[in-house]
Amino acid sequence: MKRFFLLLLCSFWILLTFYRPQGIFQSIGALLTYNTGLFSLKPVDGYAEKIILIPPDKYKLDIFIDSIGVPHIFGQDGNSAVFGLGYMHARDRAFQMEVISRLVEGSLSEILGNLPLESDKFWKPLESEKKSRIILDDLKENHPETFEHLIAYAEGVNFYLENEAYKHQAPEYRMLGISPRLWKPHYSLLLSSYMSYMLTYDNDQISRHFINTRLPETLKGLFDADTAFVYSIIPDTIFRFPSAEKILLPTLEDIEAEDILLEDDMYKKSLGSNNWALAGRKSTSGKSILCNDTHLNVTLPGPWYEAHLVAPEFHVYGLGIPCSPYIISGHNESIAWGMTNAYWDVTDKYLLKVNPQNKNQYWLNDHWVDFEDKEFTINVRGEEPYEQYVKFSVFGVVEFRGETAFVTKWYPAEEGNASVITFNFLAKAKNWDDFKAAFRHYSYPAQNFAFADNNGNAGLLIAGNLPLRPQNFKGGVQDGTIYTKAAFVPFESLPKIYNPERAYVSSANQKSGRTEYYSGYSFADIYRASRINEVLSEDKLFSVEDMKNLQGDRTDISYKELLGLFNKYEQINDDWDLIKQLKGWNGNVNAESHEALLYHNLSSGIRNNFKNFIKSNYGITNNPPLSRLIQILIENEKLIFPDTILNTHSFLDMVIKDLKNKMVQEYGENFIEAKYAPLALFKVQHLLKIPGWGKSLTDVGGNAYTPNVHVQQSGVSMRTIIELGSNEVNALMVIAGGQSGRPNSSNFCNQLEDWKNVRYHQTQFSKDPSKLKNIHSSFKMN
Amino acid sequence: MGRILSYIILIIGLLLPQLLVTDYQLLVFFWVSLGVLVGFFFKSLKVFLPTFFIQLGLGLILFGYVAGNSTAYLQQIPAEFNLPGFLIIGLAVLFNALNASICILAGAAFVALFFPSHFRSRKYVNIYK
Repeated sequence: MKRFFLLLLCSFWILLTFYRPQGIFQSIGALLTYNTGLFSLKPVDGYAEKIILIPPDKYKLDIFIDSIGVPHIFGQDGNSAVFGLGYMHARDRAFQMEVISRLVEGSLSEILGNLPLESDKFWKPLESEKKSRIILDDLKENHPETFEHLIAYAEGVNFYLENEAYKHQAPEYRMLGISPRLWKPHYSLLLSSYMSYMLTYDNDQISRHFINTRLPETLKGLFDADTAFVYSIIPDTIFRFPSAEKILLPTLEDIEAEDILLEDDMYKKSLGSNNWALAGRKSTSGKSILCNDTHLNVTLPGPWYEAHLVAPEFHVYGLGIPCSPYIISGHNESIAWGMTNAYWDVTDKYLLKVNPQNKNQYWLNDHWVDFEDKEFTINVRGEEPYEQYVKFSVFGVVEFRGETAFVTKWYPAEEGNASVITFNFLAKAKNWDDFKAAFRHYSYPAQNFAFADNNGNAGLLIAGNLPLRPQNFKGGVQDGTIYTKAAFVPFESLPKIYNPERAYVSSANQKSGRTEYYSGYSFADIYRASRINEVLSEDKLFSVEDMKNLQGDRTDISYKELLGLFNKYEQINDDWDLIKQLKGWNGNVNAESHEALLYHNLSSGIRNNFKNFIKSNYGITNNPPLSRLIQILIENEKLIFPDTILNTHSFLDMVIKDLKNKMVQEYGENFIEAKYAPLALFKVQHLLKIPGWGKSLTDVGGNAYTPNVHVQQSGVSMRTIIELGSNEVNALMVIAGGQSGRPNSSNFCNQLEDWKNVRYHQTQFSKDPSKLKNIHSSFKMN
Repeated sequence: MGRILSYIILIIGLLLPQLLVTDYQLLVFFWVSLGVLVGFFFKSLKVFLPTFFIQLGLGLILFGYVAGNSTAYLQQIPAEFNLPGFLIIGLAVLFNALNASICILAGAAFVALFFPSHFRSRKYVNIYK
């Protein structure tokens, strides 16, 4: 009996060691055992030098990796160079690549269990994987060079993965107890869907509809970009898209559905970017300068990967995103480019008329049409597969909200996306004409692409597919009873500007330009763009040092307008003294500033209070842009709502009372000593949110209105400054994180401190490998 | 001599699978099998403590010395919860010692339970001696 209990106890322990945390990680026993767990893993970088590898016959290349992990890839031809990039991406970012491709494919649950099931349920019916295969076939036919690059890139990725030693496995794979899946060429095409989702997917059209149909005249412009804004991306030009005038579809008057669940539009508002290009005559060196900093969710690893590719066909340097065989923001010997999100609206929501006699039918072009039923299987790790049944209309996936049926048509998913071709052409472009021509094949996500060349020129092109909408359309829900084939603004009509008189171009996600035609409603508020233009329009020449200062600028100029609003009214009580505390402030948002903290609470307070008003009166959940709100409050001493009249003076008094209460509540009676520091804390999380593999940074500072943007976990994800001389390129770069996506690598987060402190590293752009410095290791592949 | 041989068998039996086997289930199978062998050849259930101390020593070498600097990124996990980083090494060493000992004990207990006559039929051998 004693022996039986002993065996039972031992068996119980053994079973316990097989417990898998959250059902997706390796068992506790496997994780904590030397060779099966994380302890035996060796960092992949720097473990050997001058390695000779034998790749497939057609590829011959050398890779030199410098001390911060940047690969300098010298290929005997373009395919070999791209093969090398694939090899390096797999070595440093295989897990991230697998997550991105699986996310878009809708198969993340296969490796992460049911945690990402909702995400898979969104993506699976979009059939992005199937569409990307079709695009790949089309590339083979019509763009063989790009097709071959995608093949070479995939072979490079797989050459690494197939030869990876067990001890060099990425920690995330070891934690999950899985092996990386081999890369297929069409996976690279999924990247632009991923980026398009982050930058263009809107799902607040119902709320937008209420904005258009329910708001009184005085509030009509509250949510629209200011058409009179002097610093639109392409000022002084009115754009016309002739073909748009031909579309005469009816728009809906209103939606009778108070119970419709509305989404909040908060999460995306901090995503965006800055770019600007100075013509040679605006810089101290006489050379044109291009600057770019993109704002995305900052995680470890971050999105960007720095690389240098040398081949007879191209010589290019810059930042790409693992999954893509090309440099996305960077330069070659002649030109430089960088992008910001254009915020063009590429999502349409349609209200369907469902047959009350037969719920499986909807009204379309004057007759009842059956929904198409499709079934998808989502494999879930550790569980039974999830069977998803989806109804399709001609517009896309049908979504029932109570008795009401909507369809969200997201163009990047509908159309597929071959934007990758553009970056192949950019790598070889020599001038503005080549640059423009490269975008003929670009579709999503629409971006403001800044340009500079080594002849002192600067320009900007807004590229991407902009769907043609009915006349007078202002966003919101459309009538789903009529279908016409989608058409887009023609490539020739895309807004562009080249060598303007002011000698610079810039964009910061503000509205593209003055146009009667609807292009979107999610543009960034004007303050970031205003600040950049305020600096660049100074009558002086700028140096690279000035560019660094502007990228690191944490000045929020919105305070001037907001204080102007409060100054318009008389002080009602002592609480208004709080406003006086801001009078000596220069708008600098840093950890040590009390004023920055006070102002943060004031500006968010005024927006939140007003948002609550319009939410309770009109059912609108969107956050009003601060600049438009201030403008409307300055222009109107009274605002009439259905049940109440809002007296602006009293409203401001309420805002100040709330501000006082909040400051006392959060920071105590002595709140005057409270600083911005807690809000300047920036937490960079690991991709899988593994505790300890993320980093917390103090005194990051900045907010959504400062050029150096930081909001919660979003912010600047990279910075580039590129000065183009006729014979040389002087480029500075830094990324949020590091080159390697492996937590056990010395390059995992080695650039974070530099990134925080707006420091850069000088890039090495030489065709001669012997001139490269600080080379840490190298691969010879032939 | 017998005692030394016993220890050598135990050390090799514990160490080799840890270095060669990359599948945890297989490793557990090896260790339990080793326990069965120990049960048959040494006819004793008193294997827990020697195994525990041998594995403790092996664990210290593997986790503390061989893994060395490459575990720095793991030490950040307890640090996130304001605990000392080396705790994760200590935990791993202790867990491995306990786990290996229990697996081997399970094997020996299996023999003792299902082949009691075999246990009783030969002269009792204590492997410590």
